Amino acid sequence: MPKSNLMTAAILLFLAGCTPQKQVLEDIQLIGVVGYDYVDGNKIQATVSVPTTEGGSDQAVLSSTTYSARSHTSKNIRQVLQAESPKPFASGRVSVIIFNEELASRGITKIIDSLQRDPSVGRNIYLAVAKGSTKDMLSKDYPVGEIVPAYLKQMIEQNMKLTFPRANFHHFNYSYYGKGSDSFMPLLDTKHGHIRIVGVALFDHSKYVDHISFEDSFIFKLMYQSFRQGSHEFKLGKDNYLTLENLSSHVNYDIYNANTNPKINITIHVRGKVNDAAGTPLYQGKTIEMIEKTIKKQTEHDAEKMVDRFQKKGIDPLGLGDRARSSARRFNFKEWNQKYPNIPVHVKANIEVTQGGIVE
Amino acid sequence: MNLQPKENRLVSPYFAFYLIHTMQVGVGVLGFQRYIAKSAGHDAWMAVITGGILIHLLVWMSYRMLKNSDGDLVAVHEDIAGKAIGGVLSTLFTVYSGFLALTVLRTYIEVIQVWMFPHINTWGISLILLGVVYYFVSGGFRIVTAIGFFSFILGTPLIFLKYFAVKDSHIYNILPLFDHSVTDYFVATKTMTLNYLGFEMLLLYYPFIKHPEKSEKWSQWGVFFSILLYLITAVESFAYYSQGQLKHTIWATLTLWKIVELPFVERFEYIGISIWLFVVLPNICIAVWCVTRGFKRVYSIKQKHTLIPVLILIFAGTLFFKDRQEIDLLNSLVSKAGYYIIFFYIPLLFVLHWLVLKVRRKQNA
Repeated sequence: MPKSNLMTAAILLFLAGCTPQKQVLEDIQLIGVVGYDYVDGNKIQATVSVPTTEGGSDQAVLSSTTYSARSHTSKNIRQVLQAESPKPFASGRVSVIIFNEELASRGITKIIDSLQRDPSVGRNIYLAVAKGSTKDMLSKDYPVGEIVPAYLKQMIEQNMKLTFPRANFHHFNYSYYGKGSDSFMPLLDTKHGHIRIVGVALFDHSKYVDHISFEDSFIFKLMYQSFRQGSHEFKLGKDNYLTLENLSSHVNYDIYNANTNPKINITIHVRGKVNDAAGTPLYQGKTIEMIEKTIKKQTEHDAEKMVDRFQKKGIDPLGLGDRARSSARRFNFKEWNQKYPNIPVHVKANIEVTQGGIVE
Repeated sequence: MNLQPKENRLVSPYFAFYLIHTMQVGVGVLGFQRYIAKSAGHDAWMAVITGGILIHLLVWMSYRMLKNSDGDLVAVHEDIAGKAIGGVLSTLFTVYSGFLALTVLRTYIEVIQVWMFPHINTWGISLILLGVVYYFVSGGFRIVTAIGFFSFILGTPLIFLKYFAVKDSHIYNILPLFDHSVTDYFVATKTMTLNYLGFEMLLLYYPFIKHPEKSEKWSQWGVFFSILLYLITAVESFAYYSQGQLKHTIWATLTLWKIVELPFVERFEYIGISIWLFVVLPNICIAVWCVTRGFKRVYSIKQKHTLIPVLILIFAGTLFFKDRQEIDLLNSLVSKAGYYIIFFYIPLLFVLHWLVLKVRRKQNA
């Protein structure tokens, strides 16, 4: 028995040498946001935003700092970045990845491929397109009480609970590798010392081709998914506006003859409340009916116009192709793509206004 | 030769559930989706069911055979082919068990290397894991069974992680039903049955179950539970991934865990992979135990004496297969062997054994 104990001890001793590289939290820099900018030809610039702490454990101040570097491949950039950093970088907590407009419109295939191979990159992280340079966006200070990585992440996250359609890295991969849908992501801009979402950046496979405004993102979301929050402004008459607050919305797709002569009906049910309708008496049944009718008309009109725009551009952010595939056997994507711009799409909206606030 | 092990070495019939189930759930669950989807696309989840039904049938056959021989596979071989040829056949089956253990171990080490520690040496982690395997297997069959039980307790809750992917899923992805040809279903079913491999170890540990004839229903429940687990995993993966994306994803289950968001942990898949050690450990232990048992039955060598050499051979094997291609090759070779064993060999044995016994009964009468 002592002999085998000795063996065990020896094995343990020798194995102690082959423990994998340790990563102690204090000794690494956890990248929070990565921004990619176009430089020229096939060179890109990456900027990473890293939370840092200064001061002792009692009065530590949290702030963020940026590093940027240029190179041809995104993995090599990491190497170049490392050359000016006191601690090694770790990408396990990347929460937002931003592409600048020019880079995005030239295609982000290379970067996506590299990100998606990396086992330490999550899937519930947000991708976004930025107007202007991401380096400028990330290196500024914003008086919002949050460091840049947390600010960006929380801003996108809470907007996706409201009017912005849900999109993350998984969704991008879904459309990027799959057939029958195209991806979209938030379009960011710096305005008045803040970062704001200014619209929905629409992609054709890996290229950024078009965008719709932030105001229209609600209409887009109504068609894209069922959800329970968000609000939108409608025009009631001349100089008369009201806001509909969504309590619950539900969308349904009916696709006919997907293989031969496709026709699509999109039905949206919205149950909402109207709070902000200055000057309109909300207690009369007649007015409510009128409001419902107006909202219905505008929603249908705006939605159909939006789909028409997608079809003309040949992009499919709603995933109509993906839905059509699930509605018919032996579905042919080639034929579908040819027919896509001319498929008649009808939107029907059922609006139900249920509440008008706490006073009559 | 002691055919019947002593009573203090036996396990209760209901443990057959854990033995069968844990052996069927291993490294395969982490990435079987894209293999079955290769032929039957979004309809491949049906192959999980059809494949499972076939396994139910094979388990039934195995039980008929084992009951009539009142022993294990080695006894069945002797009944049919005599001692010499039967011994050769049993040895082949034993070698197959060894390869099964090697495949599971090497694939799990690959997962660790790709996902967690790219710098780790194969020999280091292999030595540690085989040390653990030695510890359990040397404890005897009861300990090995207990590991199977713990594996079930620790591994099964991971199925609830699928919940996090639901809000990013489109259930319409699995529509329309029956969009593929019969051949596609057949190929997918064939691929799927390979994930159910491992139940055939029953042929060797059967005498170690107390009142083995009572354990049949538990074994069938074990198979049923495996089907359920694979079915939930497959349907959720098909709803979560687009088919094109699935083609690119080697470990669909692990990648799905990436969406898990918990306040106290950012990258849950690391925890999942660590827990998965307890899911693969019984696979290795049961297979290694079966190797030593096989040698004992055929050559009357004590299990204690074969254990270390077997582990050394497996250790050498893990060093031999180095990269993704080679590991994939190992997997497909062992799968192929397993395929022939369960679909040709077991039914053949079943028929032959039945005939032999019938003839013998007539002669005796």
